Amino acid sequence: MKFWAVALVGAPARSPDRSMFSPAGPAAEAIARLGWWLTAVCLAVAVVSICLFLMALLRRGTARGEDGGRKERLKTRWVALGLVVTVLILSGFVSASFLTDRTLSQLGQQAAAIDVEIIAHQWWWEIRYLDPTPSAGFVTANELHLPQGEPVSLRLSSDDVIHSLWIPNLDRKWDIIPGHPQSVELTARQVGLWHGRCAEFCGYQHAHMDFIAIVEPRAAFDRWRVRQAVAAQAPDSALGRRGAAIFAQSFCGTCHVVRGSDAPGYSGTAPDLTHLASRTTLAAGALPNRRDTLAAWIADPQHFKPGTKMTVNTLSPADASALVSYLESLQ
Amino acid sequence: MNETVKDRYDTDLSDHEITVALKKTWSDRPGLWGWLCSVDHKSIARRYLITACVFLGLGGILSLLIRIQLAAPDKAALGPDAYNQIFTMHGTTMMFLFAVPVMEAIGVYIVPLMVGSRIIAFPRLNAFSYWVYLFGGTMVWVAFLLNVGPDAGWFSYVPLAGPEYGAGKRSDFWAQLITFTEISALAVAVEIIVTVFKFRAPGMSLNRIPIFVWAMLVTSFCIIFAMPSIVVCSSMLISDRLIGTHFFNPAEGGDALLWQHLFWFFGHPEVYIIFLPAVGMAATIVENAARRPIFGYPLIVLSLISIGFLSFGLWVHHMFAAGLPRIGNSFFTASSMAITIPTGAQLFCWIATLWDAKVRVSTSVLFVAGFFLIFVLGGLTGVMIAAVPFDQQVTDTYFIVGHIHYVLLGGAVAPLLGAVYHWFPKFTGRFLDERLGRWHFWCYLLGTNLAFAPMLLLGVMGMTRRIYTYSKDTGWGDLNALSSFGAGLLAFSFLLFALNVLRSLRGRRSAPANPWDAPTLEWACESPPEPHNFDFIPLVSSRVPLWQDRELARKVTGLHVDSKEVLITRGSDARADLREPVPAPSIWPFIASIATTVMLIGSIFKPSALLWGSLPVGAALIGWLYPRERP
Repeated sequence: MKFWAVALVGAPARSPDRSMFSPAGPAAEAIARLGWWLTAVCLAVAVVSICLFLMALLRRGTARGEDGGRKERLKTRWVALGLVVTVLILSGFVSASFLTDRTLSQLGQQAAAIDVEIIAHQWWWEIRYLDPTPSAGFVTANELHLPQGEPVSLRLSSDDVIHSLWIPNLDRKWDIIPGHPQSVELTARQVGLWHGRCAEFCGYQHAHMDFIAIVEPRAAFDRWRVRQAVAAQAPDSALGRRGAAIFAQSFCGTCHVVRGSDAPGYSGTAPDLTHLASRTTLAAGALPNRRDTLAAWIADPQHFKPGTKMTVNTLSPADASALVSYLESLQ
Repeated sequence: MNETVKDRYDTDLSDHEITVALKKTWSDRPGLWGWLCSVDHKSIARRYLITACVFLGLGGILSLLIRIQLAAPDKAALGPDAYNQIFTMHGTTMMFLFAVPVMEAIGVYIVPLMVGSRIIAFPRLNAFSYWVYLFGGTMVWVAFLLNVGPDAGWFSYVPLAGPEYGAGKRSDFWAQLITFTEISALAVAVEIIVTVFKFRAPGMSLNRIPIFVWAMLVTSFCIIFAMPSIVVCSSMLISDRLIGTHFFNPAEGGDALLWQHLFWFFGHPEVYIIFLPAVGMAATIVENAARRPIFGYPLIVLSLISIGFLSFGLWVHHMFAAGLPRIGNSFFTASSMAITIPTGAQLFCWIATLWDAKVRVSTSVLFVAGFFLIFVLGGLTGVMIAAVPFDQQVTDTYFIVGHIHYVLLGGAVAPLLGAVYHWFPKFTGRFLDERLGRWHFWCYLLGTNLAFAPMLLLGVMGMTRRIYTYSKDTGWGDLNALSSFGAGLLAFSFLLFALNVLRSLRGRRSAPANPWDAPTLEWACESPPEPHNFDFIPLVSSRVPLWQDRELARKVTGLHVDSKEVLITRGSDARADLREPVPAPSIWPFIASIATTVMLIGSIFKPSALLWGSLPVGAALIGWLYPRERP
C-alpha cells in the first residue's frame, strides 16, 4: 500500500526533511500511519464517485420522462447502499482517529526524565532547561536538544500572542495560547536535525520563527547539557575583550544576556547569547550562523527580518568587527 | 389619478391591458432618483451581483499578488507588512464581500420568481441591505488602499488583533466591516425566509418548493443563527480596542480562546452558508439537464436541513490544536464526519437522476461536473482533517489552504458559474457563448487543480500558512511555482468569463421566456422579467409546474393592477390568504444606510459616534416607516 501511496503523491516521500510522512518519533509515526490510510481510502472514494458521476452523465439514456416504479425502487436501493457504504467508511475513520488519539495520549503518560520550558515570543523561542539543581539549569534559544528515545516534558507558554509549536517529523502541533500554559510530552526516536517552526500566524515575522530540534544519543546530549550550563568564558584575544566591553556598554547588553559577562541583560526580552556560537542558525532560522551573516545581521537586522525588535546598529566597522569576534568566541 | 382608475382589477381588463398597467405600476421612476429609490428585487439583485463580481476581481488580484510573492523562495516582491494586509484582505474580501453576497444576490433575484411572487418580502429592507454591503466593502477597501488594511488574518485571532498587538486602526476597520456585512446578511435572510413562507404562489405546498429555494431557506436560517455569534465577538473585539474592555485579555480575566469559540461558531456555518445555495444551484441544473424531476426530492430536502443543523455542531474542528479536552474533540470528529452523509446523499441522488437520462452537456452541466471533479477532493480532504491526530499535523499548513480552496472553488464557485450560465438568459435576455464557456470551464478545471493540488502536498511537506516567504532549503520552491502557474490559469479563465459576459451584453436580446424548457416558475416570466414578474400569479399543482403545464393555464385573478399588491399565502400547502400592499419605492433606505455608515465608521475614531450617530439613523428609520396612506 505504501508503494502506491508514494507513487500517487510522490513528493512528500521524496523530501524527507520536513514531511509529516517521514516520522522520526513514535507520535509522528502513529499519525503518519493514520494519514496513509485516510489518503488511500479517500483517493479510492474520490475515484469511484467521480467515475459514477461521469458514467451517469455520459451514459445513453432516454430523452425525457419519469422513471417507472421498478426503476425507481432499484435506484432507491442503490442510493441506500451508497449511504450504508458511506456510513461504514466513516465509522472506520472515526475508530481509526480515536485509536490513534488513544495511542498518542498513552505516549504522553510516561515519566519524563527531562523538563524543558519553552516560552514563545514574537518571533523567537526561549528554551529553558530546568533542573532540580538550579546551577545545572540554563537558558538557550531557538535550538531544542533532545536525548534519543526518552520522553521529554515541554512546558509551553506564550509571552505575547498565540503561537504554535510544530516539529512535523516528531509530533503534532501544540497551540500556545496566552493564559493557557500547557505541558506536553515529546519523544524522538531517530537521531538527526529536525526542523520546527511556529505554525500559528503571529504577526510580521511569522515566516521567520523557526527552531531546530537536535536529537542525539544520551551521552552526546549530556555533554551538550553540561557545556550549556557553564557560564561564558572571558575571551582570550584582545579583540574579543574589546568586543565584550562594547557588548556590555552598547544596546546589546540591555536585552541580551551572556551569563558570566558584565552585560546586565534581562532574561526573556531577547535570546540568551551565552553559547551563541554553538548554535546552527541566527534570528530564529532567518540566517545560518556564520561570521559574515552574523556581522550583516548585527549591522542591519531590519533588512533580514523587518519588524524584529532588534534595533539597527550604529557601531563603527572596527567596533562591529570586535563585537562579532566576541560573539564568535561564545562557544 | 382618480379613484376609478386606481381601483381596477385584473378581472376587468384584457390580457394586454393588464400587462401594460402592471408594468406601469411596478416600474421604477426613471433617472438617478428612481435608481436610488428602487426597491425592485431584480434591480437590487443585479447591483448585488455586479458589486460581488467587482470584489471577486479585487480579491482575485490580491491572490495573484500572493502567488507572485510565493512563486519562488526568498522573493522580495512584497514585504511582510504588505503581505499580511494582502492575505487578510484576500480572505476577508472573498468570504464576506464575494461568496456570501453573491449567493444572496442570486437568491434575491431567483427566489421570488421561483415561488411565483411579484417581489421579495420587505423590499425596502432589501435596498437597505445592499447599500450597507456596498458602503462596508468600500470602507474596508479604501482603508486598505490607504495602508490601513486589516493585517491579522480574516479570522482576526486575539491578542494579535487586540489592542496591545494590533497597531493603528487596522483591525477596527475589519471589525466594523463585519458589522456591515452582518447587518446586510441578516436583512437578506429575513427577507428570504418570509418570502418563502408567505409569498409562495397558491398550491406551492412544502413538497413542491424547488430545491434551490429550500437551499436558500436553510441558508437563511443558518445566517440567522450564526450571525449573532459574530455580532457578539466583533463587538467585544472593537470594545476591547476602543473603550478598554478586557474580554480577551488573559491578564485581566479575559480569554483569548473565547474569541476562537465565538468566531468559529459563526465561521463554520459560514462555509455552509456558501455551500448550501451552491448545491441548490447544482441540483437545479441537474434536474433541468436530465429532463426529469430530481430523484429523491425528500431525501435531498432532508439532507439540506440536516446539513444546516449539523453545521452548528462542528466548530471545534478549527481548534483541534488548541489543547481542548480530548473526549470533546472526539465528538467533533464524529460530527464533522457525519456531515458527509447528507452531502453524499445529495450527490447520490444527482447521479441517480442523471443515470437514465440523455444529457446535453451544456456549459452549466460541465460546471456541475466541475463540482464533482473539484469538490469531491475538497470534501474528502475535509474528512481526513476531521480526524484529530491528522488535523493536528496538517492544521495551519498549506494542506488546509488547499482543502478550503478545493471546497470553495469546487463546492461553491463551480455551481455558481454553472448557475450563471443557466440563468444568464433570465437575468439579461441574452445567452452566454457556449464555445467560450467551454474554454472557460476547461481553464477553470485545470487551473484550480494546478493551483491547489500542489498546496495539499506542500502542507504535508511542512509548509505553514501565512508566511510571506520561505528559504530555498525547504524544498518547497517547485510546487509553489506550479501552484502560481495554476493560479494564473485560473485567473485567465475568469478573464474569459468576463469577456463572454461583456460580449453577450453587447449582443442582441434573443432569449425566449424558457429557452431550456426548464420546469420552475422563473422561466414562466419574460427574459428578463417584467418589473412585475408575472401577469398572473400561477396556481401550482406540481413540483415541476412548467413541465406539467407549459402555459400555466390555472392562475390567480382578482389582484389590483394600479397599485402594487402581493398575494400572501399561508400554511404548509400555501392556501391563498390575503392581498397585501407593497411598500412604494423610497429614498429612505438609502439615507438610512448612509446614516448607518457614518455611525459605524465614526465609531472607529470616536466611540461616542455610536451615540450621536444613532440619531440620524433613528430619524431615517422614522422617515422610512412613516405611515403615508391607508391601503
